[in-house]
Amino acid sequence: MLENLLLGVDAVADSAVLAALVVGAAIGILTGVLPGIGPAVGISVLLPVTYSLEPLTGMAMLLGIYCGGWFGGAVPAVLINIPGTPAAVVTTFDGYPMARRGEAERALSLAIMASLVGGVASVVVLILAAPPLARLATAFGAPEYAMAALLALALVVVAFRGRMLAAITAVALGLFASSVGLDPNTLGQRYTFGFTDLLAGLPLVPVVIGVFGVAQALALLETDTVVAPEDRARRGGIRWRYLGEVFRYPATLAKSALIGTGIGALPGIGTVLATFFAYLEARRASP
Amino acid sequence: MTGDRARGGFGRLPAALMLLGVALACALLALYRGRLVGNIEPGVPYYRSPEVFPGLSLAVAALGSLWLALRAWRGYGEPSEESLPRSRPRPGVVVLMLGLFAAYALALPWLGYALATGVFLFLGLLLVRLSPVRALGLAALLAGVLWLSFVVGLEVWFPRPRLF
Repeated sequence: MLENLLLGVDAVADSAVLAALVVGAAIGILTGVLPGIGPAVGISVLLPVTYSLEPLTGMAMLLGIYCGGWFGGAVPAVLINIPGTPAAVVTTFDGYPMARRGEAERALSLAIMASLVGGVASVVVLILAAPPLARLATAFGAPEYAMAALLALALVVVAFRGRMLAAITAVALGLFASSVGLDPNTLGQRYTFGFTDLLAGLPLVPVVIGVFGVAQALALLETDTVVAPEDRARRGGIRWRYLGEVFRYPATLAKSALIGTGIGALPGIGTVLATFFAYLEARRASP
Repeated sequence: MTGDRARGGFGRLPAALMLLGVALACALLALYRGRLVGNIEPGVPYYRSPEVFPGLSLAVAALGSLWLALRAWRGYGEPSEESLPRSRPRPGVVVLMLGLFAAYALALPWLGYALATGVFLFLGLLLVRLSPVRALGLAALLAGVLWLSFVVGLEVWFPRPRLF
């Protein structure tokens, strides 16, 4: 295994591959920053660009886009309370209040360093434990998926402790929205109102952008100007002095990385459950 | 919760009415689920199982929204100063902006992507109180960039404008 790992490191150390990683990460951050675009769309759109590249260089660029995109989603979540990606919904909980207190740079620096640590940790875990994780993933059947879905719903309600009724109502509305389209078992149409475009259901990204983005845009409309004077403190950026702050919480970092890796290894669960789970665990453990 | 109830005022009625509307919509969708689920012609046998989950979720949403509407009416649960930016309620502007979104969708097949986007952006920027000159410049620039990106760069298909 070590020999293969060293071969991989040697191949990645090529200047063209590293340049492709940097360019890909920059493009990824841009696609993540734009609500509704995200890393998956970024990869789909830019896939043809990689056809003209060497396979390894192309893959490096796509990986850069993917990883950069997930961090990019945190930028609008922190600055304007609109998650760039569905996984960044949780970032709005604390990131936006921090930005309103004039700590946008701190929030963004924490987000980028936490993304980096989580990404590296998950790669290390996958290198060491890919075979058992793959066996675990294949053993994941319908009952386990059902329990994962129940867990996700419970976590959303728990995340809004103190406003539990509103959370339950929102979850119920979300469940209804997810039931629109063709029923997978009987192929009966549910609430499509005869629109063929609704047969495949309501796509996640437009719903997230509509719920979070439009709501925040309308809230901003009610401020005196689009950018209120106190919002100037919200201007973001990365500060070196904040980058190391995440290492003050090694237990949180380790737990979040493990939760993300564990849930990420399971097919079809998605990043949203992992982020909610990790956030709630961090909040529970917080003094 | 303590200070929120006393503030009351403008937000109560619209919030309560909006939540009541959600509750009514959910209740109607749940009650008429027999017609809205399955795409069934009269006399044709069909499975009723696809009705179960939407029915359950709509019932919970209807009851929850109704209870929240009552709470909103009584002044509970209004947003705190920490949760939202300081704002002056301008429901007229919000309604106009929502109308503008709807008009944009309707105008796309008539005016084409570039012109409809430009007009939408210009009027939207005027709504957020930019000067007409700045609004026109920004709208033209953004519409041009979007047109170049989507129509020219990514070759996204848009309908040909009916007016031109």
